[in-house]
Amino acid sequence: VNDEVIHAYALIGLRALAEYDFNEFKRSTDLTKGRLDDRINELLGQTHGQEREDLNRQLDQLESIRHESENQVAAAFLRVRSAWRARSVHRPLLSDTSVRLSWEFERAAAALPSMLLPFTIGHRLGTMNICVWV
Amino acid sequence: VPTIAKHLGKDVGYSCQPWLAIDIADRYFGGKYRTWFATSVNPQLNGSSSNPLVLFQELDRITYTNDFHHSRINQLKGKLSHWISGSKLTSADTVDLLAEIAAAPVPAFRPRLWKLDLRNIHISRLIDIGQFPDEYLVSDLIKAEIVELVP
Repeated sequence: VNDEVIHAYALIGLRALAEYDFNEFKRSTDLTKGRLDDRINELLGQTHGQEREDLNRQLDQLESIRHESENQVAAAFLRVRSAWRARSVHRPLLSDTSVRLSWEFERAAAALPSMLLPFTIGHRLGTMNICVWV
Repeated sequence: VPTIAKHLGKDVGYSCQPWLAIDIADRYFGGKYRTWFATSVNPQLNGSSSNPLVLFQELDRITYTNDFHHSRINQLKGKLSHWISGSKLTSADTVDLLAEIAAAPVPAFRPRLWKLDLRNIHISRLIDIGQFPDEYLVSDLIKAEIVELVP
């Protein structure tokens, strides 16, 4: 493994930090996220074969982090989605799921900026989808 | 001259730095220190990671007891690694330093408490503000602008 590959991994770690803790990212570096992306791509261009595939896999995971923490709205929806998944897994154990989910929806909606409302959520618990991703 | 002191209404700032960060800045960044500081040594509204006095007390105890498994040591290693990764150093230097930071013993994190003279630092060098109300960044502090309260 050459220096460029290790450096690229380190920069991808820094890029992930920008997604899950932007304040700590700002504390750590003067780079902007855009400039950091450029440097990662620059280093990626210097790698080949398996090393490049491994780095791309890391970047794919970064895309996942980025997508899921895009903004406050996304964060609010994630809480809803987590609640929904938990409900699906534990469905047989929960006797009052509709009440619990209703509470989760209210809490998530309260966290949304009013200007971004309304959003639409399918109400039928069996086929619930989040229809608007702001 | 528009200085940080005039802008913030405070003549001095305080910062706690681990020895290793200072040493790396001396060796690789021409003695210019990327320094977060507060205008109070014990800013009550800042988190503990942004409070120079709390940081000093914590690191002083950790290094005195050589508390190798303390989470603050791992956290500092992470912070230093992120700083080096995002700097303008070459990949070779970056990798050397990442290895050095990873292998650094606890005493390398012994704290230095700094007092900064903000009256002579131009406002243009105040490049960022932090998450907490009393948290500011200068990226090119030099030794002449620093008084080591606890060396």
